[in-house]
Amino acid sequence: MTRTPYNASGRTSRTDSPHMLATLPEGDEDVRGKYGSEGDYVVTRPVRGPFNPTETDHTTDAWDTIEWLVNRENLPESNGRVGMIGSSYEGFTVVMALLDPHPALRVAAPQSPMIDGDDWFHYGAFRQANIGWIGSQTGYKGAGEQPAQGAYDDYETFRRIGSAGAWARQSGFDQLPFWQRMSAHPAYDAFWQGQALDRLLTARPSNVPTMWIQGL
Amino acid sequence: MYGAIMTWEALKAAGHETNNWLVMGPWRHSGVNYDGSSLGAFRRHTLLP
Repeated sequence: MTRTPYNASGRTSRTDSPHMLATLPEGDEDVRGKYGSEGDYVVTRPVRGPFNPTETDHTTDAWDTIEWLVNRENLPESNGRVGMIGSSYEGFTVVMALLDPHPALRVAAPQSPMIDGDDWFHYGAFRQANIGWIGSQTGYKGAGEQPAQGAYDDYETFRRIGSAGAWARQSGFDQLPFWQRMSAHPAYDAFWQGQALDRLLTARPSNVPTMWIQGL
Repeated sequence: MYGAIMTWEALKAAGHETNNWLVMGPWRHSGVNYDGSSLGAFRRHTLLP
């Protein structure tokens, strides 16, 4: 089962992958606020607590989804066991499920998961090339477009504009909530540390067999 | 290269090695989900012996 902000209906095509067992039913779910799911989309929605005062997060959403999947009234093919797999943002949602895993979650394979804001501040360095992702991903409920950069490549774009902040203002991205959150926390402060999944999972380790997968 | 490595290392240091494994390979971000045809000889001789 995969929980994605990248269109669940498209993700089902991965069952065609030679790495997946086609005999197993696969469930793909849109996260809140994207594609077929209602609600607000919050980028890497933090775990419930100081940075998420609501009653839901990716941990509870994964639990509820697994509860639905193992109910044979919903899925007659269910054998009562669920595995979660996904890469990048979808790896993040796998790890979030491990913080309070549903008893039917029997195996997990987070691939290159986002863990603590590392996709934005990689080893502390801000990744300007990801700014476009924020616009296309949070400016639209479905598939979004990135604004024309007006230059041949990222190097030339950022050389001309001079700074990440200037690029965001020119694009209008400075109005987006996630840009504003990142701008308010350029250092590895309590905001990032408080939602760092390596720390949270070490404090609340699961017994789920987990294969951590990383490209070199 | 960050999230899976950092988290696995943190779990290992905290004594949770028995149910956590780290797998690394020569693929791009999310490339593990694809066929690896661009890996050439490495794929033919190492990944698919």
